[in-house]
Amino acid sequence: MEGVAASLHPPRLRDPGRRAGMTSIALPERLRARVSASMTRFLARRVALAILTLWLVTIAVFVITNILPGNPALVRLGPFASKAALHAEEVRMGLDKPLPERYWRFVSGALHGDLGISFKTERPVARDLGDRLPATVELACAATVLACLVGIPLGFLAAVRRNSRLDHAVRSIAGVSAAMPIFWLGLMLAFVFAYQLKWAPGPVGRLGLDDTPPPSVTGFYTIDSLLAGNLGLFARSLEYLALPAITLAIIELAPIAKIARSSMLEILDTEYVRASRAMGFSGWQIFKQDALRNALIPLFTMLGIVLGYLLAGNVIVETVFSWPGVGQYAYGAVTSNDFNAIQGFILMVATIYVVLNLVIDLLYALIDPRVRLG
Amino acid sequence: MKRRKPAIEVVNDNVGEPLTSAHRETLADLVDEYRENTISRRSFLSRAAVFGLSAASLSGLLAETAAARARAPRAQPKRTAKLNIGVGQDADTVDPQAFKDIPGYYMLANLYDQLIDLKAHETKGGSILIADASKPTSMIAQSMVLSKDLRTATFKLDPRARFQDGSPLTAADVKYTFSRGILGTQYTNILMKMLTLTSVNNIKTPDEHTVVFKLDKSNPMTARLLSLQVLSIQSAKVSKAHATSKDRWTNNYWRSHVFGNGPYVLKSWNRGQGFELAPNPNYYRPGLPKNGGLVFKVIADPQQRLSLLKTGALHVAFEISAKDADSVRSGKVANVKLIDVPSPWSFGLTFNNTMKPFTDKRVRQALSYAVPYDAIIKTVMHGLAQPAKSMVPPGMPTHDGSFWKYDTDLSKAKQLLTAAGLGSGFTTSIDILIGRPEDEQAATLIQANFQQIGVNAQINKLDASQYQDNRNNAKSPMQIVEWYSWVDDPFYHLYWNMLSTNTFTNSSRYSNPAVDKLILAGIYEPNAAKRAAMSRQAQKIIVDDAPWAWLFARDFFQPAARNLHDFPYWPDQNPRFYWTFLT
Repeated sequence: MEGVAASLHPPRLRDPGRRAGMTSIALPERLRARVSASMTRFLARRVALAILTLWLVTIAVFVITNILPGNPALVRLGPFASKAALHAEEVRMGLDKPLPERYWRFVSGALHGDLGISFKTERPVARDLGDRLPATVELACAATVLACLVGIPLGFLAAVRRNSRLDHAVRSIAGVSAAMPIFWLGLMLAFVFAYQLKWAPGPVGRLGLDDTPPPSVTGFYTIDSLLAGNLGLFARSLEYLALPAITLAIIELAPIAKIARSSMLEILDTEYVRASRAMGFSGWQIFKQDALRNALIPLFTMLGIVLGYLLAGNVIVETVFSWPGVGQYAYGAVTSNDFNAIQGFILMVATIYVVLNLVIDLLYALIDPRVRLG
Repeated sequence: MKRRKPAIEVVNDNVGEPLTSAHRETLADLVDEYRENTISRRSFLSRAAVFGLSAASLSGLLAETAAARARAPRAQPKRTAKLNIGVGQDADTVDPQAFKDIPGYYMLANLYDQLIDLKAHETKGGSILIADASKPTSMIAQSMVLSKDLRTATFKLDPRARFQDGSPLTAADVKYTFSRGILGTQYTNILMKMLTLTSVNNIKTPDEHTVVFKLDKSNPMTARLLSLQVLSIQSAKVSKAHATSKDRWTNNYWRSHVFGNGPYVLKSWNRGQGFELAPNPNYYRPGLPKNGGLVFKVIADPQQRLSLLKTGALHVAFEISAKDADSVRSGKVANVKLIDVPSPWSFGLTFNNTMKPFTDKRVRQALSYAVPYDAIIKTVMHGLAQPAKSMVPPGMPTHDGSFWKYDTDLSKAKQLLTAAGLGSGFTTSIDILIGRPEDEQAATLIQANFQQIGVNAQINKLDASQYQDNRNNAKSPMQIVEWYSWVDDPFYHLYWNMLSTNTFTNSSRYSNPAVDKLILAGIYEPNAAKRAAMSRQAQKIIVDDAPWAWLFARDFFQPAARNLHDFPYWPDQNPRFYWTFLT
């Protein structure tokens, strides 16, 4: 029985044998050394791949933004610009330099955290992005937490009660939320809850027109208002966060619930779960001790993708709710040919994606030895 | 509200008339207070007597003011109420002399004063305060005296004028500001040439409160140019403190720093979210601002701006489409009104006069006949526009629509095309700017009509950079363009749009030596009658040449809270909100 349990269970995951008084098998010294070497190789491969990806991104970003038609210096100076003034502005913006030199400046600057000056705001792009990123992160995190709190239990419940009415209902909800256009959803939620029912404040951003933001520590208004001991402001920042977060959460809900359901179904169909059932454990015990943690693993990947998408800034939700995040910034940059801002934004997004994926890969390797050993 | 009832005429365009008293503004405020019922008759008389007015003058003033008060009971301003204003984007640069995004102008129009302002009068039951370009009035300059040849302008500065830190504003600051305009590389450089103030040596400061400009030419537009927001007076001391050897005119510093002298100070600015202006405690003009401050909030979605206006969260929602503005016309929404006045804001379809087949006047005329003007005004602008009928738009002095002949007539259009050898039509394109849905709708209507005469016009939606680039390099066969002139003057308007040498702004690349001659002579013609005749002559030639199809002159329309009074409309469309108040 002990041998069967050990071979059926993924290593290092909680197994029913432990609960039944059995012990896990310790890895021999040679195997541990092999695991450590594999892990190092795995890490090195992943980090090298991340660096290569980012380098390719810098080339792609630079080429695409610099072959766009139009002259940003002209947009900056307006229609009255004389040729001399235009030339001076082009020199100021560095547009007179050859492309390789501009690329080198861009890359070497980026390595030092200098993404150039935004032609539109006249401020360093890194500072602009830094100012706006907390708003996007706060919204993305709130939406993801909401979506997980609702989507994961729903997905698991649907799997546990497969083909029940609940299962059909959850699949329908997921289908509808996936099909809903986000701009429509945002507008409808604002219309109903802000303008008609007046349960939520109007979509004027992170706080009301008369509110003063809390002193910035983390950039998250919810946390900063708590740190400042201002509970009233905390409550208001939650009020303003609610509708955009719910909008994004509804959209996120679909993939999360679907993945949760399918991964739970898969786990419930494994031999070790069947073995647990055969050993007489109750459905709740099996769910809690055997299935839950294993079913959460595929969700990591999904959450990484979803969070990365949200951190890239959701232009539509940020626009509908006047949320001053990086999405709105990027939109403004694109419409005004703000080269440095566009480049900086894409580079930031790419870095977030690459780092998130790297972290997820590493987490996978930590919790599932098959990854690092494979 | 009749602003500054007893105020003495400061200047006219051609004839300078100095102020008779340094206390004129105070007296004007006193009258305002009496008319607004904020002071008693006794208090009014005792305080007015300080100005040394005769008993007869005082009683006359009192009688007239009291009668005015009885005729039109004043709405009581809530002077501490802040105005919440929704804008589509944030301000960018804050250098008064630089080209900016629109909210940047909104900000600076309230943070800085200029030498000269324009007199304004109230219309539409107190909803709107319209500046009259023909009536300059005092601002930082208490008086401006123009010599008979209109080439010397002498300004006496208001000794009360202060920068935001309370430091005095002097002739040195005025000299610095205009020197920066002349020698700097900013936007104002070109305006200095138009003003014909071309050398720093032509700016004299005989004492701390007197400035004299020697202009190269007699200039009928002097006062109007000086009232432009871009010619806001800046501090010489602050500027010089931040100048560097590479940046003599402190362009880098002023891009992101404000040191104003206007009715407000910049209280806060959360980049990307908006900014707040608070009343300036050191402001020198008593009684201003008439509200408790301005909160500009970036609400990117115009629908949301309008919805927030309807709920009362906003008092003003900028950049609202004609369609949405039409939905809040007076009476349709309880707490919102639509401020709507005709304006000389021109929209046109330009023909590239240097590109075949538009080099042929008959082709331009044919297409002008094919444009569905009425349909555009009715269905695209929802009636919030006027037929333009000339290059000088309606509402601008000397506009003359009598030369117009292009009422929509497809058979005439077809005849002209046939005469030009293009009876079988041709293929071309119309460039429009992304983000202006009304242009796209108009282009679609135009496209449909053109198709009926065999002209296939593809619509190209371009971003600002490419659109501008195509215009500057004459790459577009046709473009839908808009233009409003900061100076309400026909020659200012023609100079930018029709002078052949202004290749960056003459979007159709129109070139007619006779028109060039008229523009260059008319712009500095001191005789008003001669000037008007020259403008009409130019319009006659231009309408016949048809370099543009003049689509319409867009009204200035603005949804606002019903309890908002005196929304400011100045020719440059930069709102001076210090006059505006809530009740």
